Amino acid sequence: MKKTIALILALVLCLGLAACGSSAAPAAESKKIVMATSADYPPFEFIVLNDKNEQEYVGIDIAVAKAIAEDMGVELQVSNMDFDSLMAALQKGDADIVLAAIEITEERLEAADFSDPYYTDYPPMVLVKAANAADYTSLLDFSGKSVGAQTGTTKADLVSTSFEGANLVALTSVLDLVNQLSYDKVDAIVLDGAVALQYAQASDDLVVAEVDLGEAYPYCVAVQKGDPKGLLDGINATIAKLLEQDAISAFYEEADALSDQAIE
Amino acid sequence: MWWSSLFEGMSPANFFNFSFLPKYASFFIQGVEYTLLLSVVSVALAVIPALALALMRLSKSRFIHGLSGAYIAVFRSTPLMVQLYIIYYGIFGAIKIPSAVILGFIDISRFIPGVVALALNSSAYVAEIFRAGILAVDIGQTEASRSLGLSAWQSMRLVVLPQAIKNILPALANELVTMVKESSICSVLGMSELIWGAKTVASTTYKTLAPYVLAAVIYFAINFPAGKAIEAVERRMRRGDKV
Repeated sequence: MKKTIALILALVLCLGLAACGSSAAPAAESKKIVMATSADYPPFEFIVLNDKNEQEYVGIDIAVAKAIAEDMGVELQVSNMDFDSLMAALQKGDADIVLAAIEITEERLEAADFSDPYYTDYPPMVLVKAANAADYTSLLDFSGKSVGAQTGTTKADLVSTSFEGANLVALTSVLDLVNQLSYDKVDAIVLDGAVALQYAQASDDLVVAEVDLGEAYPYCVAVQKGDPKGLLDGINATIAKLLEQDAISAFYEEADALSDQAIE
Repeated sequence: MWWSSLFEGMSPANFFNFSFLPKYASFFIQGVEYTLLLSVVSVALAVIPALALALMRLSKSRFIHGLSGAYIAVFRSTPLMVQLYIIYYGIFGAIKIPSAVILGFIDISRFIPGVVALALNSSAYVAEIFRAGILAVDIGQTEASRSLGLSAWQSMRLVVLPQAIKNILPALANELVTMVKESSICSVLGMSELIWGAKTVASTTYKTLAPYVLAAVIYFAINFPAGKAIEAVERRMRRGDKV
């Protein structure tokens, strides 16, 4: 009997403590904006070690996000995850904006709202090993070969539709793709133009194949469907300002310079 | 279409938003076939090495005992994902397997390294299962069969092992179920099994939860009947026992 009373009293005390905890949270919420990205994509977003030997997120998308946060007067928090979890994080509310070299597609429009374009990249390119580069001069040369692309990207769709007879190997991380190419597990990988150029520059083994993959599509910032926090106006205003000042090319040069030090 | 009208108005993050189904069903069907093939072949391949390892572990020779112990310790103490990477890039980086496609969608240059990694890992666990099963058979059986003139190997093969199987079966069923689930790790290397299919559908259609829910249901549908079937076999084997 005494033990039961003691147990009940203990539980009631715990409930009291729990109530204390939750009331402190709402005050600290509104001063930052969370950006979700997949930081394995130089020059758009990647990680370097800064002078204090800490990991820092840098890249074109990060610079654009910082400008957006500055104009809104809030702090930027970067949340790194796999590319195919980005939309899920947005839908769940874990992230307010997503910048990860994302193009608008019909299916993405159903899941999120997009801002105006802030950058148009080179067209997608195919990376192959330098030793085999001469074999690949047209899309038909990939018939029967395995071609890698990132899951959930427009490049994966590109391989399925334009590369006739090729086997698509879809992986989550760009690093796994590059690894598989380096170890000859796939014959080629398809990446965004700027990213392919970076990897070709960084490694003597890999070159961009002389294949034309058509036009590039512009990248836009994604926000939650319905824009519940009303961020789109602010974002579009910042983008307009950046495009006027041609700030994006400056970001690109900065990112280029830093990407030799990219650790991811 | 009547199917899509069932899901109209459902948020993409809804657990049961199966509106992707008719169009993307092939990912799941192929995924099931791949997963089943991967896990069954791995466990089947693991049985003989595991038996060898278990017998080595039970041997009197310290060297053989230690060798088998070292193998089992290494494969049980390191994560399967690390083993998979090392075998896929390391061992099968040196040994080249030509890229051929069986059954229409299974690329053997990926399938074989996956099976090898899973089998090597599984044999460590199954070896311990066999050893426990063998040790559970009353020592009197070995003594009696030896005194009747059977050699050590004959008494193991004809007397102890058949009785040990009864003890081994439940744990072996567990291992098979575990292997079906662990085969999902192979998705990181691009093998198109069930979790890879669910992930691809989720990232293509932006229905973020329902494909995984479907994958979970399918895994359950594979493992639960398998477990029940082994239970039935085990019950049949226990029919003659007193307790």
